Amino acid sequence: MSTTNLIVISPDDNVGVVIGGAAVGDDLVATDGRTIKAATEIPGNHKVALVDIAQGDRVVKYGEVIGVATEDIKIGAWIHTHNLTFEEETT
Amino acid sequence: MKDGSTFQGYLRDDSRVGVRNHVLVLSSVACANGVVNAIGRAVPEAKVIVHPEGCGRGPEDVGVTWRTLSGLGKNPNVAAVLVVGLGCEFITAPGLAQDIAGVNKPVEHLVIQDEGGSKKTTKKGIDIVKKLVKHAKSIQPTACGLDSLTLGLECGGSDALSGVTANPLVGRLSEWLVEQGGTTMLSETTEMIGAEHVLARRAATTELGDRIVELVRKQRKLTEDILGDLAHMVISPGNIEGGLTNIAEKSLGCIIKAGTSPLQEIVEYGAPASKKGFVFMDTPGSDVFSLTGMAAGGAQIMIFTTGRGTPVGFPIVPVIKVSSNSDIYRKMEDDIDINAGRLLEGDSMDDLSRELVDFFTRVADGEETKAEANLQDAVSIFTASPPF
Repeated sequence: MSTTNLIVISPDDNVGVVIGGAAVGDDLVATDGRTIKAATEIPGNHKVALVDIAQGDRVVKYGEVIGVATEDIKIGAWIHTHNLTFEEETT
Repeated sequence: MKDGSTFQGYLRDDSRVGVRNHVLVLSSVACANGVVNAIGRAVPEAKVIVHPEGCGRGPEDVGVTWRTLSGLGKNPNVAAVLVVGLGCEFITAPGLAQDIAGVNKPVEHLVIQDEGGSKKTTKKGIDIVKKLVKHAKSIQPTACGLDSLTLGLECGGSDALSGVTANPLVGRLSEWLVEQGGTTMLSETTEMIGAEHVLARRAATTELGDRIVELVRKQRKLTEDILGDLAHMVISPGNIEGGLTNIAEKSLGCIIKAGTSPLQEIVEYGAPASKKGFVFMDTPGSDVFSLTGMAAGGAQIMIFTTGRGTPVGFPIVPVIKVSSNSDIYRKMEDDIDINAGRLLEGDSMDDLSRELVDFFTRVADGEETKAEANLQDAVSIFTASPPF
């Protein structure tokens, strides 16, 4: 069995955290049992899309919205400041 | 998970329960610290709390310090207290002693100017504390419900994994404790910036939700006013390089320590909670200030997650240390109790949660944490204004 290198915090999340980083094609073995392939290079401890995320979709971590995708993001792709914006919610 | 079980605790007269049975020697003012430390050296079974406050501050700070010192004396982990003051300070030893005695535990006091100086006060103090230790030893622990426990939550020396491994693990413990009828106390208002809407949504009432938003915004403004160009440190370039995209994501990684239970109450720094379940205390993000506030608020156990590693503990409250990664656990094994980095070495969140719950109940039963074994007794009381 491969070592777990992808942490999924909440079952509602559409992003996970890649431990130690990944190159294109690397297997990402998640704490919830799923395995996906890295679609881009991903720096250590950064976020990866767990599903295809469309431009304008909410990005969810900790079961909460952490921002909106500024472009289509494929499953296995790196998510960070280049494709995720954050608009502060007012209550 | 252990459900509905009990632990061996010390039932106090105010019906709160201690997980420890300490005798506390407490300074009412910084000027008494030397005597308090001398008494502590002579009677090492007693715990000592010294601090730089008690005089020379504005009325608001004196009020917060009073509430904090009184809360530390009243903490149910403390069986009996000796308060030592100088005699001319704002926070007087007899006044503080009387306040603490309101929870009906043995409280004595000494005033250095009345006793005739350090040596005489120390000698008398040693006799009193030996007597209080004898009294504490006569108190037998009994089976107590987990619903009597308040767990204080803290993170410090965080790294990119703190919000990914250690804090979600602590969130499991918080949810478990709330299910048992206990209380989990989140703190560090600075670390809530950007996630206040999430806490507001989880608040049990609209009024509570509005209050948390107001508190966090006030803290944000204070951070910007005082830190100026450094305010961005709250989400630093290092955080962004580490994989956090924005402040909301960073703050969510902090509040996950409280799990996802509804927010029942917001309390001021050092004040006790009147509700059970998930409560929030308004404290600074700085670790020792925050731990001191929660201990004064009655937390009997505190849990502290760290990525960079920290030895910090608290004199009268066991502090459980959880590392976010295995490297720091191996480097600082003497200081860290539980390694959440094992999530990346094949251990499941469920297994680690069970282990943490077991350790937590053993600590409630009396097992020493690493910080206790190392006598890591740090205390800092929050003040808003300069001394004068």
